[in-house]
Amino acid sequence: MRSLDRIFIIARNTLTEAMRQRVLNILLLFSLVAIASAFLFDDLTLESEEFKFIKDFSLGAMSVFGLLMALMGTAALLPTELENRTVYTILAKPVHRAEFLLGKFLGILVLLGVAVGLMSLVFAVVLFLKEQWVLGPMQAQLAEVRAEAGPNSVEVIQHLEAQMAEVKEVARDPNVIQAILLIYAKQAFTASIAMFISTFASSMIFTVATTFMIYLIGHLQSVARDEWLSRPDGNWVTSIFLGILVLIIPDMNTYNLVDEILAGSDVYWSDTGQILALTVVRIAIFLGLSVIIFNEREL
Amino acid sequence: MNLLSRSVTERPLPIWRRPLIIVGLVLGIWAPFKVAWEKHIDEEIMQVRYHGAELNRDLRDQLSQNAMIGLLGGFRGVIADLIWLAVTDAWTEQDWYAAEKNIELATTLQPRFVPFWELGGWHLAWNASVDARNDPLLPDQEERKRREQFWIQRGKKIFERGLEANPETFSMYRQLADLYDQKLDDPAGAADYYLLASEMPDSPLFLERFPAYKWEQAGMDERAYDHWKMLWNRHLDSPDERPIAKDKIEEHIRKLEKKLNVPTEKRVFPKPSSSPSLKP
Amino acid sequence: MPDSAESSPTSTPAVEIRSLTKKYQLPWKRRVLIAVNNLDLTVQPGEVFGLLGPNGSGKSTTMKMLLGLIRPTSGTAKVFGLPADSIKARARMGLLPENPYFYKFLNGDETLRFFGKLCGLKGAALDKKVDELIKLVNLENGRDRPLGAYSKGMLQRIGLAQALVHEPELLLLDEPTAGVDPIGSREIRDLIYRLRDMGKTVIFCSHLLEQVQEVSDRVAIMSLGNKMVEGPLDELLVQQDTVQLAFDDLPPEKREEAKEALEKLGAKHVRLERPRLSLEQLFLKAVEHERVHPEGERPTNEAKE
Repeated sequence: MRSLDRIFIIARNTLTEAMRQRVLNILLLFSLVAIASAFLFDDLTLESEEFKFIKDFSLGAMSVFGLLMALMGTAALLPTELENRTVYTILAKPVHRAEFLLGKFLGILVLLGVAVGLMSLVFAVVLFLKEQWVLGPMQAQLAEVRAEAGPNSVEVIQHLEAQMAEVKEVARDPNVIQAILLIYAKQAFTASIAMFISTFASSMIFTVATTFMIYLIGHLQSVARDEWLSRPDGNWVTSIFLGILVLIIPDMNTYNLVDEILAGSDVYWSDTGQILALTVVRIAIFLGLSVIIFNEREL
Repeated sequence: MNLLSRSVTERPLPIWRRPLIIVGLVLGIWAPFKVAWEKHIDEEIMQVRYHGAELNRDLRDQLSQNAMIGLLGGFRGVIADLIWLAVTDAWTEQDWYAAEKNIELATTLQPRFVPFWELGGWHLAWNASVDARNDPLLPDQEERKRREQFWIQRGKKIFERGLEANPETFSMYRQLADLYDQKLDDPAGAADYYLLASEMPDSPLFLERFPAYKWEQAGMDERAYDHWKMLWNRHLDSPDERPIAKDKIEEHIRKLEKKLNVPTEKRVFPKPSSSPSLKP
Repeated sequence: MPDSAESSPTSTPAVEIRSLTKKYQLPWKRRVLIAVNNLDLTVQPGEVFGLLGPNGSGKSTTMKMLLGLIRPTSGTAKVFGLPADSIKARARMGLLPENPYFYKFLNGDETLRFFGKLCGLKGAALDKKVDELIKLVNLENGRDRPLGAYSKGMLQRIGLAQALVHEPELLLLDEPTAGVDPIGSREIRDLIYRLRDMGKTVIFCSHLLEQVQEVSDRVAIMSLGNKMVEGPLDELLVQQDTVQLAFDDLPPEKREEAKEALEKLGAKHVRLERPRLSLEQLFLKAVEHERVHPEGERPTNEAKE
């Protein structure tokens, strides 16, 4: 389809721009955090603590950097195009405004995906190195005990093997994949909010500030919702205020499942899948609204 | 054109084509679905966080806790880790009140990370209590003992709350059992918790013998004997390997059958010794 | 284009603008700015049309309405009979925007490829088109250089090349020589000649009269949103009621004698002056009402709401 082709061309161009502006240098910063978290906290009492620290800090850094990219990158998309007048040249070609907007957004999505993917790769390498680092002395000890074959060696071997298995289990926790997907989903959704706001914003600052406000309030939305739903007979002014908040502001705590995964809870793919599905619907709605407003906008 | 100046429309768009109206309409239709869906997901996350355990705290408390957890969205782990580093600092400086405060904070943020509970309770019940007993600044032995007991109880509280938040793992039961055993001199209480711990699916096998040891220690020989017999029957067909330790089970059954004067026909081992399972 | 054969050039104008009006609400004031007022304009296929006017006269606004970038307050604009804001119309138009800025991170080759692909070109056809355009605008030396390192004249040329990438029949050039040195400016003028020879319709906005005069078939002069003058250059520039005498210089006292002699013969309003660029005269006359008022009392195209 012609239309899809044009969307892809614009997306690729957006990606090229980001790459040539060395946006991915942020990876270096991320690597620093991941490596530091792995080797600064190596005197904690338990191995499971050390791995928890790596995961918390690395995925935390992934969230922050990705969020910054999503927020600043998306908020800058339209203003730079308008300021540099590049939008005129593109829209003077037989290109629909919707194609332009969707192409730009797709570019950001792919950029975020590449960034999160590369950060995950660095993260996996750090985890693996840490695992080998921790297992090394254990393996040496195991070999020693086996060679000795003393009276208690069977028990010691079993104990060591159990310990090593435990280290491998925390180091290779497959639930981390779900956490990374959720982190990406949160960034993508934040980007779609920024895109929506930038279609009517008069400056990039406005877009960044407003999106960030929605992001913050979104983290308190569930508290407001519980209050609103549990007290239908409250003060009507409060009620209306809370109602508007609950109905309009998206609940950002939806993505807090990441925290539960990192804290070691058992998480099911069905939960993650449901959150990803909600994210797709959310992004579709915000993009649809963006297109409606951008179509009417005077350039 | 000046971005601030609005264009004037002489022939306004028909009402259903005006962007603001459409945006409002879409958001309005989406709103109820959105709220229902988000609420559903929120409930599932709570289910994961507390594993269905009903916390008996009042609603206010829980509400503010959820608000705090929500605000940290995405960075809860990092904050909890930083607080935990403060616990380790407080431990090295033996500032036990600071340690307790930070243990509470870290476990509130991540109640599902079991090592926080394990180490936190251990710091208080073992390290803080021993520190208090040996504190040269305290006036007399009486006061030192009182202080020791105080910290043991604080540690116990941490374990109990950890158990509330993580009722499906053996670890918190075991911590409590160790505490009853080593700090409270209550082998019977310890036995009960060891039994609960050994019944958890993630429990290591060797733990199953612990209740019987402790019942014997508490002088509850019959209870211990029943437990040993149950273990013997459970592993009847298993090979004699280390974690099961059939030899130890047999040894204790023989000892107790003798001590309790179990009638021969009811004994597991009617003949003295020379059983095929006993190694030379 | 295959469908242009069906409609004869005379029956379908390249551009047909009828009572086109654009008003803006000024911020914080109960005033409206009339950017374009009731404009009628027709450009025939194959014409080179110059749209003149001082800054803020509504030239760019008109261009933007032609491209569907902004919505007219009232009136219509059609391009080859198609509504101006339709994709089909845009497929037949190429724009060189005022001060074109492209993606600085792309080089000349990538820029043309990007726009070519947007217009549906691929593979060998795209390669061929890019080569052809680079040659046409003489940009071989800028092919591998990022646009961030381009001179003003090179930017205008790459701008022209991208405007031509989908072989449009109508070209809109907004200030094509603004800020370009005289040599670059000459090159662009030559390009416009070549475009006319290729049979393209060209509309360009400028305030550089000399150039417009050289290349345009017809001009319109706008001021404060209104069209003041329109017509073929030849007609507009011949002042039917005036005869100009030219001669090699006389000493000043002899000039007065000549003037008196003419007045004796019955000539009125005899003026002695050096010949001026006639379009400039015309231009100044057309926008005169803007200038006669002292500073601060300039008439504007603002109106009470």
